[in-house]
Amino acid sequence: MPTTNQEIKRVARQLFASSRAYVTPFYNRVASKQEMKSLFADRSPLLGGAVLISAPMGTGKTFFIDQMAALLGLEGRAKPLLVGEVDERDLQQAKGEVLFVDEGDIKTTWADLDRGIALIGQHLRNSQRVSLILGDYTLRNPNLLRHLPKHRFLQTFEPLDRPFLQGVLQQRIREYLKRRPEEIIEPALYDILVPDGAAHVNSFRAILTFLESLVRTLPGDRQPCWLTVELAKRYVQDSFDPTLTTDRQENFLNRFLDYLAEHHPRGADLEQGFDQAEMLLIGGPAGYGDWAEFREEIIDPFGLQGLLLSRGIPGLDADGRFVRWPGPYYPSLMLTLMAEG
Amino acid sequence: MSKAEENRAEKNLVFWRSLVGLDPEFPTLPPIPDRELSSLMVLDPGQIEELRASLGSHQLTQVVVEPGWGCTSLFRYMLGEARDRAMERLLLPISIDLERLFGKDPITLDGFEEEIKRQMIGLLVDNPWEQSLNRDYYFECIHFEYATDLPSYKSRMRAFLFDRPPAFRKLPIQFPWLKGSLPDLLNYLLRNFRIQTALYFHFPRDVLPQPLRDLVRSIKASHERGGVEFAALREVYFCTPLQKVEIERDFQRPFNALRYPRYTAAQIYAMLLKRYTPNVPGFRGRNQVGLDAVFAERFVQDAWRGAAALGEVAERVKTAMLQRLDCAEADVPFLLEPTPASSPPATAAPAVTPPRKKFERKSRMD
Repeated sequence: MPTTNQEIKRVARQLFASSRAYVTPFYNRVASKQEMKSLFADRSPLLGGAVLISAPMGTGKTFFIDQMAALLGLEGRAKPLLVGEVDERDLQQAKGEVLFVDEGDIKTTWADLDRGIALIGQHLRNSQRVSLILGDYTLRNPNLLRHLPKHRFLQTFEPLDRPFLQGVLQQRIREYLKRRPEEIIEPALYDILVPDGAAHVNSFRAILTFLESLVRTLPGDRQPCWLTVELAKRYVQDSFDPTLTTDRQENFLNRFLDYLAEHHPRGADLEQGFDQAEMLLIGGPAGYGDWAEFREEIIDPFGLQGLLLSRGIPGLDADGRFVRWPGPYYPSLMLTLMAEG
Repeated sequence: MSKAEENRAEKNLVFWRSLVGLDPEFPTLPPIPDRELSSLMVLDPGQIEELRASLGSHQLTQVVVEPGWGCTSLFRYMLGEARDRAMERLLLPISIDLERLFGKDPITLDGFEEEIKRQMIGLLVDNPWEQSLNRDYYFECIHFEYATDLPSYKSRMRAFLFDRPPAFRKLPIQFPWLKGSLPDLLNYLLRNFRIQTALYFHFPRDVLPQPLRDLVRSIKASHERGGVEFAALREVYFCTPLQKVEIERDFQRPFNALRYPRYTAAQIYAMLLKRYTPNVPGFRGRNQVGLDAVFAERFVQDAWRGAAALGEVAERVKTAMLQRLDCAEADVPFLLEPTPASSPPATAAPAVTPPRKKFERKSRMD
């Protein structure tokens, strides 16, 4: 029997939860678990150094560490250390062999990131403990890594692709509806939610939040739940409301959407993302010729509004500005769906 | 208007205000004191019901108000209402108002959680919860021992908490219950009392993005330390469209975003009516008359068209009043109406920024 709208709406909060408000079952990350186990089986090479998990926000890094906490002997979870707030006293007082530090990402100013990582590096050298640091791609910036002479990245942290998302949803349907799961998402919608080429910028939190919002628009009836591209497009068209301050921005957005529709339908073939030159090429007919101007009017405001995703490594530019959204760029889920309209 | 004309108009404005018995602040709309919010706020009952419904249904709520259109007053009204009804609703409303909290200090996880704990204990002490809650558990929270007298204990604790608010480190000494982690306290209130905690967030219109990011980081870290039962905590954000984006970008969650519309000209005139009552000097004291007897609604209607913010409406009203009062004192009327020339023609384009239009997909033209 297919899963009905009524059933899905009833459990939507649990089904699409992406925070610890609900204890959701863990799924996948088999390779990451294995790598962590191997890494921490013999900690001696790690002593005085850091293991970094660097992946976009909302990809389940903290949730993953929760699963590994017992294995790693993490005791600091009651009061997490945050890269942007950490001080020497916190580091001294943190319990356990492994020092767990979270939120090394673009929410924090560059100055605080730099100060925090430097303090952690100093502490590790002195204490010969091991640190596990989580953050987005900012953690890959060499100017931060220089503070951590002994560091290594978790290599296998699985990106969010279609089988991963499908598996998570199937498992949760089984868990919360106590039944054999039926597919609730049209295959074509999966193409847009988790485009193969954008696996490295896909975010669980963004997709699950989107799906929960979409499910809210369904009638609470006994019809089979079937989340389609059409439904998602209608939802986006109703709710898409970016703040655009100039006609040129609006013009660019229209051109960008047309370009996506024509060359990357449903987010296809975007493995490399858009580099600076390609973005300017699309922006040219809208009146943009200069990168500095384009960055100020398009890249920053669009990044700020979550319309553009970035796979680059954030860091300081030549003028000392913290560039939070460096290329290559990817359209957000909302833009990909708007392009379909 | 020349300096001399301006002086004449200003002088006439003072003369007219005294003639009709209006306060010197007229026609400005300064912030309403807390105690008068419920009587002076002009609200759309339908909109307010929608906000209450969203909060009541336990959704993460964003109340989105265009900058300059009364977000702060609306926040204070909703918070005040929640505080007045805390016992009836079994809801502790905590105010996270960046206009008043943290000052120039960066927002940290500790600071954020300490502020919540401080307000939790304040609300527990300041309301007669002993009338409705299990006394053993309640007294444990407020650290009251039966041997003493409850009213005088609460009075002392009110003085301790509110007269000169102590540094947070002193609070767990007085109230050991606060030594628990925030998730433990929130869960304690829910499990033992069925009390939920609601965080009411508000930000200054011109807040920089970084304090918002710091706050989002604290909220996220607080959630991710885990263990808060879903029903134990609610969140509502009073914000501008750009603040909304900042709040949800780096910690995406399924918010129910409610757009609170700009006030209409009629609502703004109603605000003036509620706040200003002409007191015309008379033979037997003063006679109160309606504002409409001395001041035409058309001033507001004209000023409202295309105004970018509530404050700008008041400024434009005043400018139009001065235009009208640029005359000999003998010609100052009792019932002030705009000069015909000051009224824009009905078809005129908005003078200032029009309300933000929603993006509509159009194919490129070339």
